[in-house]
Amino acid sequence: MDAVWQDILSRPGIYAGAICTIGLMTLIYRENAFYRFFEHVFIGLAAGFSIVVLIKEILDPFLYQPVFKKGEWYWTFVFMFGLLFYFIHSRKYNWLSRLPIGFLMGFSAGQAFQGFANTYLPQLAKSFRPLYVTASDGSLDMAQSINNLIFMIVLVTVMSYFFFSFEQKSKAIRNSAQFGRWVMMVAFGAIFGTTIMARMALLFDRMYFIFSDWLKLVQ
Amino acid sequence: MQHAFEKLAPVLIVEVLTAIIIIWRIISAQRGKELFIRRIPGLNAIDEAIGRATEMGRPVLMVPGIGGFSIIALQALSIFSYIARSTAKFGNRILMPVADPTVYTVAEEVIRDAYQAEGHPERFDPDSIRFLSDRQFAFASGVAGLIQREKIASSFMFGEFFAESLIFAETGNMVGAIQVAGTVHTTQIPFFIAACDYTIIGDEYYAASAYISRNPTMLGSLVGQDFGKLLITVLFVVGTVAATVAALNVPTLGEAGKSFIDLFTIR
Repeated sequence: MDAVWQDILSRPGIYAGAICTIGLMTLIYRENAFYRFFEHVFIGLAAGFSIVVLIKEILDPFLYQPVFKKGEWYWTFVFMFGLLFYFIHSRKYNWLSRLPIGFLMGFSAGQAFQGFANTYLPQLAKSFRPLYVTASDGSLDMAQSINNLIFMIVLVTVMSYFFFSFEQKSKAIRNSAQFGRWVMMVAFGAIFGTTIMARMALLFDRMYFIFSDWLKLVQ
Repeated sequence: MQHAFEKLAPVLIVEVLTAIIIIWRIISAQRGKELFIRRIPGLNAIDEAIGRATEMGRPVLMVPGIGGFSIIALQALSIFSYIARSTAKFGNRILMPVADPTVYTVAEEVIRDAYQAEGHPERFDPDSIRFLSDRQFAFASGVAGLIQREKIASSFMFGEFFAESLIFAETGNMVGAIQVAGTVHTTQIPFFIAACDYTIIGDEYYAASAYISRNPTMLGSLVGQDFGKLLITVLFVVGTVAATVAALNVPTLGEAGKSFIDLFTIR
């Protein structure tokens, strides 16, 4: 018994991690008091962690350091502007909260516009692929030509699925959209498979932690 | 600089033209022009899921994702407003765990307004909207526990989701809830498809919120974007033909094809 206590005291972090892992995994069986306890511990720890992050990564570098250490007083305006958000709880001055909300929305829209211009528009020229591809010796590269044809069909059919401003009554458009949907399902299946593989790696890592680091059953 | 602008010009024209069309459609919609949007099949599933929760007398769960306050979150809230109006009418209990403090305050307003609009402000329970945590997996464990404890009948997940999407969807599946989900994040859609009853894919998400809210700005924007998509599709087809004639070295046409591709290439 003493040996067990000695082991717990010598590596409390490992024990805490193992018990928390098992506690949260019990949800697979069903919701229980053990899970509930660790769920609340997790949320509580996360709340504490968030407060520390807020102080260390936002309030300290963007308010305390510039205003009180460097004398850059104008940062207080940003702080005051942010505080306007709390007027959402006031019936009389509720409108003031709309200022930071509007600013956030404008910022978000501008960022999305820039993101679209930088990320998607350059893809337009990259999608111009010849349906007849020549190999280095001048002959027809059949594999690449078929690949480009598939690319073209997939792009057009998937695009046709995402038109919303007209009813897909025409048989050609309906079939094209349906084919586009099927093609997307194939792509989603591939994404699903690869992500599940990555999740399995995470599970094995946890299992390794339980069986090796904690129980020392696997070396 | 001059050269860089010249290289960007055709792409910029496409972007500006699309933006002009979108603004034009938004203004038309705001002036009362009726714009058509086809109904997304997933929207029928929303009504079915609310109906099931009413029959079973169990709560309806709405999760606006873990993203911050953005256009995606606002669109999610407009869908949740529609759901809240139905739940206010039928007297369902709702649960809305939130991961972002900004979204939390706005969500409370939106859901309260929905109850007021239906004439049942007394049915709105402020505790039904809960801020759990802004940490991804702490939030996920909280939502999973909530789903299990409350034995929810229907679950709606709209917004920005990341690795926690499968935790929500799978836990909802375990308690037998009808689940409808929608996100713009392509990497999370497969998990929703695997575990939910209906999934709204990619751009359908924007169409769904525009269809439900009938908001002229959203409707106009969506119809305008359709024009943009059409323009890009046409350019793509022309570009493919240009690339093919260029590859075949067709006299004159081959050179024209190369010039067309060069026009849209940003270096």
